[in-house]
Amino acid sequence: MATDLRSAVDLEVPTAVAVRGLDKSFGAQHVLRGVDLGIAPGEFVALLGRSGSGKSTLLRVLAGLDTDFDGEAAVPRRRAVAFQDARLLPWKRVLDNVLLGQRGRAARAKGLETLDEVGLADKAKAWPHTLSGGEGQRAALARALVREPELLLLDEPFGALDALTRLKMHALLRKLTAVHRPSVLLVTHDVEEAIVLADRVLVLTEGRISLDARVELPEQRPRRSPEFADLRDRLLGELGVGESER
Amino acid sequence: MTSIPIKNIGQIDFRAVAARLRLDRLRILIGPVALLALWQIGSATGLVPEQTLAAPSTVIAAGADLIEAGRLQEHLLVSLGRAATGLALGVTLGAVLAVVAGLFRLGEDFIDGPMQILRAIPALALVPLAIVWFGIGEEVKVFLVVFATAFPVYVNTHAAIRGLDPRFAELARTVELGRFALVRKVILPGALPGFFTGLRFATAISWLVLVVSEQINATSGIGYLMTQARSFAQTDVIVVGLVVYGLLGLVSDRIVRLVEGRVLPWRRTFAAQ
Repeated sequence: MATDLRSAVDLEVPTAVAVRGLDKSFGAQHVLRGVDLGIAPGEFVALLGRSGSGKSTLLRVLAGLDTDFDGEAAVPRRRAVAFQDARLLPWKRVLDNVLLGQRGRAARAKGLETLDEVGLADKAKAWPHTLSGGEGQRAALARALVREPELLLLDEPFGALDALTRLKMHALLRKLTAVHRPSVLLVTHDVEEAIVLADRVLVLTEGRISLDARVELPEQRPRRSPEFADLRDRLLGELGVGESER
Repeated sequence: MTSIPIKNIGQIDFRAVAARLRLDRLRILIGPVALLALWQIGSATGLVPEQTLAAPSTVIAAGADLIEAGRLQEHLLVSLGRAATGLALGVTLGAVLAVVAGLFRLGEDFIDGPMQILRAIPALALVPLAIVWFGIGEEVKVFLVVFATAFPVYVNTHAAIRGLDPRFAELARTVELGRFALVRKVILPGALPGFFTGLRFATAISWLVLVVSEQINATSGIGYLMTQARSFAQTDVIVVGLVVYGLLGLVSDRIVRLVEGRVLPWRRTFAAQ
């Protein structure tokens, strides 16, 4: 019944993520109903959905946090996850949090380098509770990136941040993914965030992928362009937001 | 437009001056000093008879005499030794049992139930049984301290391990932390604050148990000194013993807090915010 996560290498497919007929239930509640999903290496995919649509469940399956499901799912060996809460261990300094699960002498230097990349070089020795919300998420991103993931799973990582900080984090994430080129699955409920960041936007409705749209916009993604507005309206419509509510 | 001064310009701000001189800290002494003065006056006027309660001045003199004769130090050392031995054994036992019960399901089944039942027994109720087992030597006192201190450490440490945020365990899985690393880097450090709460309870309880067991059957220790003074109705010596017990309790609590601050720096800065 339940299928284990298998390495993409086993399937000999060029995709980083290959999901076929993924089914997941919690008791009587059928959360995912035959999801098919492929993510190419280096591709940035945003997954939109209303609360309870199953988007976080899908991410948790790909993260290996939920192994009790039906169907097939293949993901790369090296994965990293960032959650909505920074989830830093309060009793470890920022650098040691970044290095959690890393071994060897070279790890430390690499941890510092990654902290520098996210703009937290001066906070390496700080305690997590002294960080602001944005800094905490930067540290969580550093912890994910230091693992050099082939697949980066982001579960509403900016959901708890204020609007200004969120914009800065968008720019940072774009910069980082351009350098590291992991495949990314970003779960979010923010339509504009999805359009600004992703190469492809999916909408999950009642456990099925109901819309799969490639973002054909110039690199800078001007929010005022008609193409941006068109795509936003399409996605909001798919999410069940009426025209008067937009 | 009228403006209201939020601070009287030109006036001396006594609070600010006092704060700068750290006089604020002395304010907590006002109550105790007044009480001591009342007590001294009561004794001098005969309102408080000597055989009921010795005057503060008499108590100080008695304390000085005891120190000069070396008796106070001698008995204090004995009491300290008993408390330290009992506390060390009891705390170790409580912590080890808590970790085993917290980490292993089998440990939980075998340890937690009995511990929850045993902890309902007041340690001092074990005095008769302890005397039957160990006679009236050193072992009784140490045993009682061990028994009484193991429980607060066990209960608080165990609760801390069980109550650890499951999201941290989930995080550990995403960074592929091994089982050993999970225990060493996540579970044990996360349970330390609970352990220290237990340790502070245990330290306070160790004196309580020692006071009683030293007064029941002993030939040395602060409790013995007080019992002996009782037979001669020396209220001054009894009060000296009370003061020593009080100081021991205060000092040991401060030491535990100091160690706690050193071991848990991430908490110290948290409290200082």
